[in-house]
Amino acid sequence: MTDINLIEKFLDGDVNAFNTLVWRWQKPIFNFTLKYLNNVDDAKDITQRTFIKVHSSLGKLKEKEKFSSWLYQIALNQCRDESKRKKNKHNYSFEEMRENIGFDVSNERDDSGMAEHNPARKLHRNELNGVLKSALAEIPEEQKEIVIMKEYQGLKFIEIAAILDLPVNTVKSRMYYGLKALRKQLEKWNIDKEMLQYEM
Amino acid sequence: MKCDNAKSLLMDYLYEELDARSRGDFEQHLHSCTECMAELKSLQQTHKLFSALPEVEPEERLIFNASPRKSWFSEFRLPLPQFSLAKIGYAAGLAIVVLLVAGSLANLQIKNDESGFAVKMSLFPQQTQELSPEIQAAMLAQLREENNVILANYLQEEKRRNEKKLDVMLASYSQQLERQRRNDLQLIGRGLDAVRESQNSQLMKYEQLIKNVNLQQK
Repeated sequence: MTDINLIEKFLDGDVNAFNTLVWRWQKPIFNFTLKYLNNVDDAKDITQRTFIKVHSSLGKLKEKEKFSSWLYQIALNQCRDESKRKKNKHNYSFEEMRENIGFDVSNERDDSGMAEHNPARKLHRNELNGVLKSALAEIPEEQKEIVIMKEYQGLKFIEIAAILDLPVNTVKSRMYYGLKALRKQLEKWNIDKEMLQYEM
Repeated sequence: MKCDNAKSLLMDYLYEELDARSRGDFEQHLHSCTECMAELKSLQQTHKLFSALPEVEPEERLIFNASPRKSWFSEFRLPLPQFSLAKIGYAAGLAIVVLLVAGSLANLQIKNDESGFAVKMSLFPQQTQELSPEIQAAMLAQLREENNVILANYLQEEKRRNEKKLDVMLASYSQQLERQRRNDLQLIGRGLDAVRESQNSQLMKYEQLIKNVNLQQK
């Protein structure tokens, strides 16, 4: 059943149709918010808030075929607000980046499956994940949003452009500079090519 | 293909969003341009590195129990006509109904005579007729009679209340006198006992004295 069918059923009063939609989209939205905010509790909270907003406003969505873009827009706005609120509280520091390296990844799944059989490699991969998350937190928000949507959500440039209401070329340009900024950030922290190539 | 054109296609190539023809042209350029090739490799490394960040399963599944919220207006507007002319007619009809209902509650008076058209409404009913002197006198007499009855009842009630108060006071006074009498009698009794004891003791002393005198005489 498509998202549009589920939305129509929900608007006719079928709450289970909405729960199916949530079941379908909770993981992508949770991962998007987690990469954006780099904090599991915040990501859970923002994901929940996103779906509550969707529940209350779905009737106002005129173009049902644009549901996924609309959903990402809501999640993105919530993340931006939360990020602003957090930034007002304190600035991200290099010390926090170090702490991130020890970030608990017990519920993270390694798709390759290779790390499972090699403890040294697993430890290395976990440390590296922490560094990558910290690097993501360091680049400008406008680039980070696009990098996350492209790298982790697998959205096409044209879809990202629709979510952000930007020209496609602007999205591509920000993605290009985002990748460059990430590379530069790793070099700034003296994460050498050897360490990175070990993973590639 | 020139470097500028190739660079504009870098992102599309990296994320496999190029059509076959453009892809062929781009790859052809890469074979002949080391600068573009180096830049692509650098971007590919970063892309590969970051894309390997694992996905995380949410710990809990969100479940909603409430059906979509429908406003009372959305329920109400269903029977509304869809065309603008019909909407105007519907609104005019509704306005007349509201006016009539409000009018029935607020004594609406619509007058259209030689003096012109007039609409008048008031919240309370108007007193249009004056009472005749006979009725006024009868009402006054009735009021007086009622007042007399009320006054007589009040006086009777007041008298009854005073009598009751007096009875209570007398009973209380009599109880007080009785208490006083008992106290006095107790005091008198105790005094007599004391006198009797003193006389007995005196008598015993005399008897002892007499005994002693008799013994001495013997």
